[in-house]
Amino acid sequence: VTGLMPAASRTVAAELYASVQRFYAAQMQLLDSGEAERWAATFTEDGEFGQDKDGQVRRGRAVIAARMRAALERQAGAGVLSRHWIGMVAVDTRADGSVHTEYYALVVRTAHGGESELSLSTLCQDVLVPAGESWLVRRRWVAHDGRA
Amino acid sequence: MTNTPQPVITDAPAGYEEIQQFYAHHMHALDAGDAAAWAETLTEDVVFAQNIRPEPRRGREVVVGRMKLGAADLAERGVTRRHWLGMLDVRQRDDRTVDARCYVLVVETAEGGRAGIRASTVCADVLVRDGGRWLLKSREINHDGVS
Repeated sequence: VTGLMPAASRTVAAELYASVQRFYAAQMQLLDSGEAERWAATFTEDGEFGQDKDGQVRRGRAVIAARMRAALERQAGAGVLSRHWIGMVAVDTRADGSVHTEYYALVVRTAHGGESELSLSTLCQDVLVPAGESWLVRRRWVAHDGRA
Repeated sequence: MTNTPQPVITDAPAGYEEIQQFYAHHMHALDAGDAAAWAETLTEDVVFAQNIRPEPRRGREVVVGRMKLGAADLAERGVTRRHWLGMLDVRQRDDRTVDARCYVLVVETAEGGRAGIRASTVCADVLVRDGGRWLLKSREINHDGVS
């Protein structure tokens, strides 16, 4: 992952679009329910997960799972719940069967006993590969809004 | 009379997912400040009305011109704006026209700041089919909290 890919601008078939939306719904719910390993299993074995906030790319399911497990434990220790909201999904197909997506993600945080608030707005880009009836993430790049 | 909920008939040949994708492309281009890509999602005679402005803006050139000013202002202030659209209700008007009503949240993040909801609006659009794609023909934006 070396940064932002060109935005998808084509229209794909309804079934394909719906299946990508369903994939994201399931994937985010795994993450927000603290299932780091099951969440990481929605990446390919050699999947990559990068963010511009540290510029680092985590490679491989095991690494991705371990990093997320640590982050989720810190968050749980602080008594905070996160909900990842994904929307405005654009999908483009590639000849090799993969799909490239570009979408927005909002993170809504709620501290125990506190009010819910937006904590983060991001622009995300994925390369998804087919896996049975659904998808796996081969690459994900997350760009955080508000970075100087 | 029964209390059984009646299904909403949405026989729009447009296809709901197609309209969702139109909006994804339209808003991505807008939020990226990509005036050329955004202009390609508008009809030549597009009309833009908002309840925070006295007069609608008419024509692609005028509307895109204002969009460029808005994008430059955001860039100048170091603010990233994201238009989030949901609760999309699509009704077929004729075989090449749909009425689309939706909610739009405007999320802004200043440099070094935290994301916040800048505005909550209801958007009433008319989209027309042009070959294999959809174009925005008119938009009426009603900002919540403004009389």
